[in-house]
This record gives sequence, C-alpha cells and structure tokens, in this order.
Amino acid sequence: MPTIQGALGPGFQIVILYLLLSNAGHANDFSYLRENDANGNVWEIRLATASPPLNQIHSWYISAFNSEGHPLTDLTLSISGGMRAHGHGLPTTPKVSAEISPGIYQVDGIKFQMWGEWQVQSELTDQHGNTVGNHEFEFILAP
Amino acid sequence: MACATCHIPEHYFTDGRPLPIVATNTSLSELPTRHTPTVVGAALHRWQFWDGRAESLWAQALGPLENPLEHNSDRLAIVRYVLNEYRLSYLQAFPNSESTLPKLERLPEHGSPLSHVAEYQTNWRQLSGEQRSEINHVFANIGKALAAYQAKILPDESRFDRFVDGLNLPTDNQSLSYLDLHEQAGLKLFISEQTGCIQCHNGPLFSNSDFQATLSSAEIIPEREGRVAGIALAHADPFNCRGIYSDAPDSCDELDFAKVNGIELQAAFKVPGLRNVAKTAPYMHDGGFASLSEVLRYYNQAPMHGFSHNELQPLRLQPYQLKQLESFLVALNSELITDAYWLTPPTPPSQGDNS
Repeated sequence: MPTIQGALGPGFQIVILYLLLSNAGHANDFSYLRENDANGNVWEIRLATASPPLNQIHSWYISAFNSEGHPLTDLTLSISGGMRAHGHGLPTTPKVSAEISPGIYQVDGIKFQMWGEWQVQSELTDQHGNTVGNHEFEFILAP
Repeated sequence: MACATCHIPEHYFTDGRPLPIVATNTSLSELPTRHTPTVVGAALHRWQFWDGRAESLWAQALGPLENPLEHNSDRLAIVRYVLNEYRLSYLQAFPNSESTLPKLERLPEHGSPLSHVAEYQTNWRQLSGEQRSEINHVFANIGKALAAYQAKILPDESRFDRFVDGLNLPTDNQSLSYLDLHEQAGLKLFISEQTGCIQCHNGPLFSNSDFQATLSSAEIIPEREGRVAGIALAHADPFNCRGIYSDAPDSCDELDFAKVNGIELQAAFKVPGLRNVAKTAPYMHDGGFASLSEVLRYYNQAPMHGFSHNELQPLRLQPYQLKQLESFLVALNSELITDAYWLTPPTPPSQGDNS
C-alpha cells in the first residue's frame, strides 16, 4: 500500500519540480515584480492577489521609471502576451484604463487560462508613436 | 421537439448520437454539424455553445428555440405558448411584469427577426418598437427560467473527489481505496507535463472554459468556424450581457475583454468538462469519435491536418498508459446532486396552472 505522499504527491511534485527547474530564474508566485529593461528603465507589476489567478479576469498595475527614478508618464501603454511555447496569445484583449498616478498604469482584462510559462510585453509610446520603453515579463503560472 | 429530445436525462443530458436529430417540420435541407453537449454543469461554464456564441446560459437557451434545425419555432409563438399555458407561473417568477406583457390578441401568431420563413420576418418588421421590446423581454425571461432550471443540474462527488478530499484529511484511512492503482497512475499522467491534459482541462469541471483548436475534423473552414465566428455572434447578440435584457450590464468583463481575432480562434471549440465524460459518448464538437479510447488515441498521435495553427503535441504514451488515463477519466463518473423533483417530468400544462 503506497503512502499518501506516494499516491498523489509524486505526480504533483513532478509538475512543480519541472516548472521550477525549467525556468528557475522566473517568479512562480508573485503579487509584485520589479525588473530592469535593456535601457535601464525599471518596470514593476503589482497585483491585488498573491499571484495571477487562473481563468479569472483581473487587473495589473504596471509602473515604469527611467534609470534616474523619474516616472515614464503621459505616455500610451500597450500590452500583449501569450505562451510562446504553445504559439498562442492571451485569451483576452487587455485594455489600459488609466494612468492612475504618474508612471503607474492600470491594465484591465488580463486573463491566463493555462498553467505554464507566459510572456507579457509592455510598450510605452509617446504621442508621435515613438517607443519610449518596452519590456517583456516572463513568468511561470503554476498550481 | 423539447430540450429533453436531445438533452436526455438518461444519457446524462446528451443524446448519445454523433450529431442531433433534426426538427421534423424544418424546410431546410442542411444538417446539424455540432454534437449535443451535456447540460450537467453547463451553468458553471463562462461561454455557451461549442463556439461560445452566447456568454450566458439564458442567452444560450434562446438559440435552439428559433433554430430551424432544432425547435424550429419562432419568438412570437414561443412567447404566446408560455403566456397562454404558464401565465401564473411566469408572473410568479417575474413579478411586476404584468403591465408590460405584450398584448397577444393584437399580435400575429408568428414572428421573429431570425426566422427563415419570410412571412414571420415580415410580421416581426411590422411590429412597433415597443411591441418587439415587450416580446423580447418575455423571450429573454423564458431563457432565464430555462437557465435557472439547468443551473440545478450539477454533478455529485466522484471517486476522484473523495480521493483528493481524503488526501487532504489525514484521518481518512480509506482515501487511497477510492482510486485503484491503475486509476492513480492515470491521474499522475493526467497532471503530468508530458500529457498536458490540465493545460485545458483544469478547474472544478476539468475545463478552463476557453477554446482550443483540436483539429479533430478536417471538414471545417478554420477562418469561418469555431471561436472566431462565435465571439462575433456573441457581440452581435441583442441578448448578451450588454443588452437591454441583461440583469448585469455592468459586469460584462468576459464579453468586454474577449479576444475577437487571432489565428488561435480559428477552428477553436470550447473545452468540454470531463466530469462523467465516460457517460457522454460520442465526443468532440462534431461527435467524430465514438469512444474515449478513440479520443485518447487521437491525442496520442495528434495529426496535423494541414492547418496553420496547431497547438497539439503527440502525447507519445504507451498503450497501457492510454488505458490508465482512460480509467482515470472513468473515475470522474458520479451521480447528479440534483433533487429528484427536478428530474421528474412536470404535469402537462393542460392539467397544470393553465389560466
């Protein structure tokens, strides 16, 4: 007779372990992320939940600051994303509802419908359509 | 034709056929192309129909009533039938609506904006805006009543649920006996990275309520069928979440944010739940596979069919592993949790509350 751990544990552990080992540098569980892009801008994500929920539409708060700490403000933020390994995008079309304070943009309508590795691209453009900054967040959504 | 003509309680609210029977009085020569899904747990899905053309169960319930291949009725005839035969029940369910009921005696027998009968369309066009609105309100309420009933049809606990509950409750020494070793091995495969089953079949119903191109049918035009068509229809539906008949027009995130284009929407159909899946053969959106083992064999090989977008990867499982996976799926069987009262046919209206 296998133990309780022996019955179900290995299955789940294999999934979790695989996800951890396959991309150890990325967050699995987050309500806050802070990363630098290649140009020294600082990008942050804040969530209202402990981690992005599966199968639920929710909001992200994306902040962007330049290398001197000044907010990248009065710009247009665009969001896209998907699972590169699966060849599909987000199941929704997120919309930026407001710049709620200088350099902090509220993005509504984000949803993830699968466990696994997701990429979310953020781009800030000025009124002429010129790119001021862009960054790709990559993370694992895990059970 | 009744809802139960295809959603047969003894067949777990499916019809057991690859494709449904056609209304006997239809004048159309075309045939249905979509397999009858179960009603059990349907209320918990975010989108309805294989292509998600309805984003509520009540909006879904209205579609088959006017579909010439299904009930082949029309809006005015349906509203007339309900208000003539079930007026008291209707007013009890929708109080304070009496003053806005359509004046049936001043209306033609038949009429619908969707009817394939030209005369019925003409009848509808000749109605005033107020008359159409009154009829639509009752029609929408009929959908809401049908949805309220269907929301009661839910699956009970399966052996899998008792197994999981037992694992979370160390004092339950019986937990491991709920699934035999064969089924436990199937469960491990189900949640493994190799099969990826839980990528789409996740959550309480084992469905993420999203849409996936399984490419199991070559008889399809990807640019025109599946989610790509369904989301356009959902937005155009006057009975959608944003419409004037909606009870929650300010809570429409799924509709508002749904992706409306993208190659992954082509030929993509709703991920079905897996509870009691062993009782709902045949399978897939077109009923193309007769058994679970056929479905699993298909996913094990995952042929390309030449479509440009394909997310399926061959599972590469051994035959014994496919059997383990199938035995796990059978362990998701359960009875309904629904009270027997709701599963007993009602008294015919002539003996009921006819008024």
